[in-house]
Order: sequence, then structure tokens, then C-alpha cells
Amino acid sequence: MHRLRMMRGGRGSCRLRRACRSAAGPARLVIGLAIATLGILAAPGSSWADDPRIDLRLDRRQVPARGRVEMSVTLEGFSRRASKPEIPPVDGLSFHELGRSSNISWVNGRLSTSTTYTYAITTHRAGSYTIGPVQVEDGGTLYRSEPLELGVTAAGSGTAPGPPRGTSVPPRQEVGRGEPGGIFARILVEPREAFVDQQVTLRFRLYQREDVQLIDISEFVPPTAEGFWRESLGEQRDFRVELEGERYHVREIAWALFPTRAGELTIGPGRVTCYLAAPRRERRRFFSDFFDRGLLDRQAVPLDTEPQTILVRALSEEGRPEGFSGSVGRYAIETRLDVAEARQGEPFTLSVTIRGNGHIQTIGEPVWPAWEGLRVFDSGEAVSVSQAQDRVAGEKTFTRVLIANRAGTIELDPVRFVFFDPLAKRYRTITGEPLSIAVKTALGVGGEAGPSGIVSVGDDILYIHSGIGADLQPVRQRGLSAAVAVHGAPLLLLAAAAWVRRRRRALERNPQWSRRTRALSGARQALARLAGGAEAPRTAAVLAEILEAYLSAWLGRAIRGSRRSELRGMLREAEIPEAETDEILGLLDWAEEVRFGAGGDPAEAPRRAAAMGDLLRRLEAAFRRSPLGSGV
Amino acid sequence: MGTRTSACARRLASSLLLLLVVCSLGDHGARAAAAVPQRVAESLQAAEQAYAQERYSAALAAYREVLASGWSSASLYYNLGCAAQRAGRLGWAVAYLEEARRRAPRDPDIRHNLRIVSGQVRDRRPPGDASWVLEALAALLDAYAPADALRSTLAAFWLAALLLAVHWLLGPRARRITRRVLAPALGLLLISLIGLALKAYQVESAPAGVVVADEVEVRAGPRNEETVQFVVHAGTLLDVGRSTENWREVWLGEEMRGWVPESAVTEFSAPCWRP
Repeated sequence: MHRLRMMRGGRGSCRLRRACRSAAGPARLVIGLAIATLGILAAPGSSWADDPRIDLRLDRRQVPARGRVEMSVTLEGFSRRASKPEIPPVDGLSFHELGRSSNISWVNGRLSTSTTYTYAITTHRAGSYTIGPVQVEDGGTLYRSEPLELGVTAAGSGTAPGPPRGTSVPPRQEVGRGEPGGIFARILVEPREAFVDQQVTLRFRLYQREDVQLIDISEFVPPTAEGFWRESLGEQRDFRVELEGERYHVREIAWALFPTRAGELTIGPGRVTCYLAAPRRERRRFFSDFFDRGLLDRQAVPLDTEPQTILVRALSEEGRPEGFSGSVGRYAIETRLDVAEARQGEPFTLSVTIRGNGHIQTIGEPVWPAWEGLRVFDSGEAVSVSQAQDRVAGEKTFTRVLIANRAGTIELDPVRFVFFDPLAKRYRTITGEPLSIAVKTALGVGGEAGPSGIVSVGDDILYIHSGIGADLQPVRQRGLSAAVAVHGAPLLLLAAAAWVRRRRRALERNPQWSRRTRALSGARQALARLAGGAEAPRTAAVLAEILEAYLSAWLGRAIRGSRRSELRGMLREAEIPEAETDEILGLLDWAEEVRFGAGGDPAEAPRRAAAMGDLLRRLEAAFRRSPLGSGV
Repeated sequence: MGTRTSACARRLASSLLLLLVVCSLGDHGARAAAAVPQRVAESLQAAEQAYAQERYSAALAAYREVLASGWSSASLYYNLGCAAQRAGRLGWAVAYLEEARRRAPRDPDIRHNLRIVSGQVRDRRPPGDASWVLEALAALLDAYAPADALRSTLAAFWLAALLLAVHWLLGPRARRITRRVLAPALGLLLISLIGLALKAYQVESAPAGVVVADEVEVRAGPRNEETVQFVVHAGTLLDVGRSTENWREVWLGEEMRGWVPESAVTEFSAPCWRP
């Protein structure tokens, strides 16, 4: 929100006056005395304020070559012995001192002194310059300011130097009349006829004749502007004019208005309330003259401005070119690729910048040609708005990401931009520079040319797969299936192999134990091989061999050939029950008798063979219980 | 004695092999037996027709119906990616093609289309400062799906286990032969296990989501009033974390973190490790 303020440099004194006004009658005298004393003490260059500070300012940061810019160097908190600012020379710029002003003020209960040196800088050629740091020496200490950047554009391409904002300019003649009372407000609208979206400049001015004492400004209501898009044109500007031979101090705030519809549109009214000094009726006291301004009464003066009407015309339908997107103003176009060379399938960026004066925010799209061999993707836009010479200026940049489908040099047809020029009152079409880009073959496509000389000329996504129903699988549940679980089988195999290996090693380490372990199985296998219909001598021989082999394995010595008493003794020693011993000996005796024809009943052969299995089972159990069976 | 032991080992190995074959056949048979329902087949047909007629949004919708029916494959995700790209849904195109690549990383069509759509993504992740060795290793791992890595490891495991079992079961003369092949087999198993571990690490550290909105502001917290930290665009791969009501935490690298509306990102499905 804009707010009209008093002149620069008067803020401190204004506070001083407020302090005086806020005190009651007798107290004012005391405050006046105190301030006067402090003022006297402060006069010889007191520096009770903050630490020394150098404030370097330019009235503009951008200026054309052979132009002029004003620079102020403000020294705050320095003593009176401080040196003049030392400005380092800059090639391409000339510095001329215009003058010096001092200010002593009372801020927040502290005395503040400042000295401002003003310089005119003449620019000679375009470029970007760094001014400073400015140096000031005070009491043997060297102080430096921050450097400033100044951009100098080519002559004629930048903004012409105009009245700087926030600074005073020499009085100028103004057509018009003053108004009674010495203070009044006006609004100025220019032009009075405009097209839709053409800039209309609105100025609100407060005129104050120099003999009128203005104490304060408040309740500023800017002019209404229904039917317009409003943009500020910067801070308040102060200058002086002469009206009918009288000098006026003028405070001005300006806006750029852009009509949004056709017809007669009204701007304003606006209002501001000023407080003027009014003489007190009571008898003046001793210090009244000294604090004249502070001890005056104030008088509120509301100032209203007359509303203004302008005629807004619609843009002509006749002669409107194709591609017009509603932009009004005066523009130039610039196109740029971010690379000079790209690779097929890889993105690069095209920037189209529309630059000039007009309603920058509403600049519409340029006309994009249909470029062959390129895929185009919108990548956004950026807006930059500035104010110069009470005109809204700036640029809007449209960005497109391009991807080349083929290799080779691709020529880009230029981008066009259509706008309405309100000064020429016609549509205009401007065209960007034609661009071209060299596109290399995509990586992995065989380089510049494949071995057979085939060059890739396009790069796009491949077609879908058809008949994919056979590939589809239900989205599986978490967890292992039987097929995955079976992969644990090697562990079982390893465990089994380890068991076998261990057993084999144990057998190899203890042959006797091995023989005992396998005695029963060997005997049963031999018994199973005995044919049922064999002759009795043959059966008797086999049964005797089986039994002798079994007993040899367990007793650890050959049985064949031993006497029956020795065998009985060995079996007794092995704690084999007498019944099984008798049965063994009986079987062996029967077998001998049958084999050698010395007796025995051959008809018993099948019964003996059938009973052999049971005998072996009982013997195995007896041996395992015996001392010989430990560990088997 | 040795003969009997060998016979026992042979019987054991034969039984295990038979079990494996039966189970594998059973699993494959179960897969083959899971016929695609009629409505899914119809959706597929409608999608292919719509794509051929350049009605890409309709094709995308039909393919999505198939996915929502509980059926998937690398080819389905590939077709979804193609349809999304043609329909101008760049974020979804990247999401689907990346899903397809994770299932079939060596499919040339998938790799080609993913390269194309990735080139259209506005945001570029800052290049890493990994050495060429790590980059080569990452490329090698990229060529294999998680299921491939597990399958290779299981094969190496089977080979090493069988050789070791045979080595233990056979006699000393045969062991001289098995000893020569056992060491390479165990080495292969070790390499496979390391590869499996690296693949698991890669899968866990890969971006877990993708931006599907055209542009989304990443805010400091899960509220519209929070400060905008940065802006990401469709197709940008990022990591996703916590979820609150309609908001999702995302991050790009160590420093770029924030929250986005849940609808602006999609999360990749869990990796399929089943061989």
C-alpha cells in the first residue's frame, strides 16, 4: 500500500516536533532547554551516534552509454576530521562532484550526524562496472563501503535518463494553476484515450506551496481504478514546480493501469489528509520562536481529487493476424538454443524471450512452428518486470524442451510473435532468428553411421507387445512355494553324505567293530540265497558256513576247525545263554553228520534252515547285550 | 562295503532329484494351469485395439484394468508405459517402464523405451561421483533381476552341494577327481552369494517411487501452509517414506527432503525375488 511521506531528511525533525508536541506546557520548556544544550554540545562535530558507516547509492543501476547517473555517498557517525570520500577510478566512467550537504538529527534519543556527497557519473561505453569500495579515513582508521554494480547498455538501447526517484530536481514550469490555500492534490491520467491492455499512467500529486508549513500527511486513499489492472511504478517522487510564478513542492506517486475492457472508464477520486501548521492563540514564550514549528498547533486539511474519465477502445478485429494472443505493447523477440550441438534422443532447450514495454504479465504465447524431426515439450515460462520512465517494461521467456528424432542438421523455422502496437494503432508480427542445430546419432545406435552405413534418423518409443496374455501371471502371495522349499534338498543330501562319510570312517578305523556290525546282515543275505529245494548235504554245509562266519565275526577268531569244547568256552565267555550255545553246537553236529554221511536226519534240513533265521536273531540280541556288543 | 555305500548314495541322490523335478513341474504346471480369465483377455484385446487406433487413454485404462485384476508381467508394464507415454502421462510412463525394467532388465524394448521417456523428464539427478568400477558393477547388477540373482545362487548352491556330497560319498580314487571341481564350484557359490547380497543392497537403495503429477511442490511438512522446499516434475525418481493422511514423505539424496500430496507420486511394487 502506498503512503505519502514527508520530504527525505525531514523525518528526524518531524520526530523532534512530535516529541515537543507531546509534552505539556511547562515540560516543553524543560525539554527545549535540554535539547538546546545537547545541540550546542553536539555542534563541534560530536559523534555520539552509531559506529561510522558509509552508505553508497545510485539513483539507477542501469543506464545507457554516454548517459549520466547520480551517486550519493553518505557518511554517518564520522567526526568532522573525516576525509572526503575517495572513489577509486573506473575505466569507462567519469566522476564529478556536485556538492555536499550535512544533516544533524536526533533519533531515538541519540544525536546523529551525516554528510552526503553527491557525484555525477558519466558513462562512456557499455559494460558492467563495479564502483567502489569508497574509502574514508577518520582518526587514523580507514573505512570502506560496499561496492556497487552499474550496468551500462549500448547507447539508445537502454532507458533514457529521467528524473530520479526519491531525489529533488530543479524547479520546472508546469502548465496549470495553483489553488487557494497553497496546498492541493490532483490526479493526472495519460493518455486519455487508450486501447484495451494499453498502459495508462496514473499520477497522484500533492502540491505544497513553499511558504505552507506541512507537518504531517495521513489517510492517503489512492484513486480507485475499476476496470483496470494496476501495477506500481515505484516509490514516491519529490520534485519542485512553478505554478503562476510560485514554487511548489510536489510529491508524486504513479501507477501503470491496463484497461481490461472497452468503454468509458473512470479513475478516482483519491484523497489525502494533510496537517498544516496553525499559529497558537496563546502568548508566546521565550523559547517559542526557537521551537516555533514544534509548538505550533496543527490543522487537518482533507484534499480530494476530481475523478477522471478515459475512453478505452477495443482492439480491431480487422486485420488481426493469425496467432495473435492478446498482447498489447511494443516488443522485440529473441530466440536462443542452449546448445549448438545435441544428440539424438537427448533434450535441449529453446528459449524465446519477448521483451519490451507493455503489460508483460499478459504477454501471450508466440506462434510455434511445427518443426519436423523434433518432439517439443512445454517447459514453462518466466516473467521479469521493471519500471523505467514511468513505463512498465520487462520480458517474458517461454521455454521449450526439444528432442531430436533424427541425426543431422535440423533447421528450426523461426518463432513468430504477434502483438498490437497501440502507438502505431496496428497489429505487428515480429520473427525470431532462424536457428539450426547439429544433431549427432544417439549413443548405442551405431555411432555416426553403422558398420553397414545405415544411419539412424529417428528415435521414438517402440510399439507395444501383442499377445501378452500367455505371459501374465497372477500377482503372487508372499511366502515360499514348494518349488522354492525343495531348494533345501541339498542340505538333506549333504547331511546324509556326511553321515555316510562318518560311518565309513568309523568302520575303517575299527575292522572288528565293522565285522560285528555287518555280521547279521551278511548271514541273512547268505541264508536268503540258499535255495529252498537244495539237497540236504548242500543245505547243511551252507547253514554251517553261515553260522561259522557269523560266530567268527562276533568272536574275532576262526571257528571252523575248533573243538566243540573250545567253542562252548568262547560262547560262555561271551555270555551267550546255554540254550543258544546248545542249539549252535547241535546244528554244527547235525551238519557234519549229514555232510559226511555219518548219521543225522537229512529230512531235518528244511526245518533247520527255517529255524536258522530265528537263531541268528536271538544270537544277535545276545551278542549285543554281551561285552562284545558294546558300541555296535 | 564301498559298493553298498555308493549304491545308497545313488539312491538318495536319485530320490532328491526326482523330488526336485516333481516339485518344479508341479510349480510350472500350476503356473500354466492358471489360465487368464476371459474378462482379462477381453481387456487385453480392447487395449491393443485402442492403442492401434491411437486412443491411448482408452488403451491405458484397459491395461490398468488387467493390472487391477491381479495379473501382471513385464510385458504388461511395458505396454502400460507405452500407452502412458502416448497419452502424455510422462510420470506414469516412467513408472510403468521402470517396473517393467525391474522385472525384465535385459529386454531391449523395455530398455529402449525407458531411455526415451527418461530423456523427456525435466529434472536431472546430479551425477554421482562413483568410480568407474562401481558404475560398471552397478551396470552389471542392473542387467539382472532379483529373481535372476537368486536363481543363479541356487544353481551354484545345488552344484556345490551335489559335488560335496559326491565327494564325501565316493572312494578315495574318485575324490581326486571331485576335489578338482569342488573348489571352483565353491568359489562360484561364494561369488553368487556376494552378487546376491549386492543385488539386495541395490534393490533396497534404488528409488522407491516416481513423480506422476506434471509438477509438484515439495513442502517442508505435510500441510499446504508449509514452506515449499523445491519443485519436482513428472518422471523424477525419488525415495518415498512415511505416509500421513493424503501426504507422502519424499527425498532426493541427503539434503532434498519434504512432503508431497500422496496422489503426486506412485510407489514401485515390492521386488520379486521368487525364482
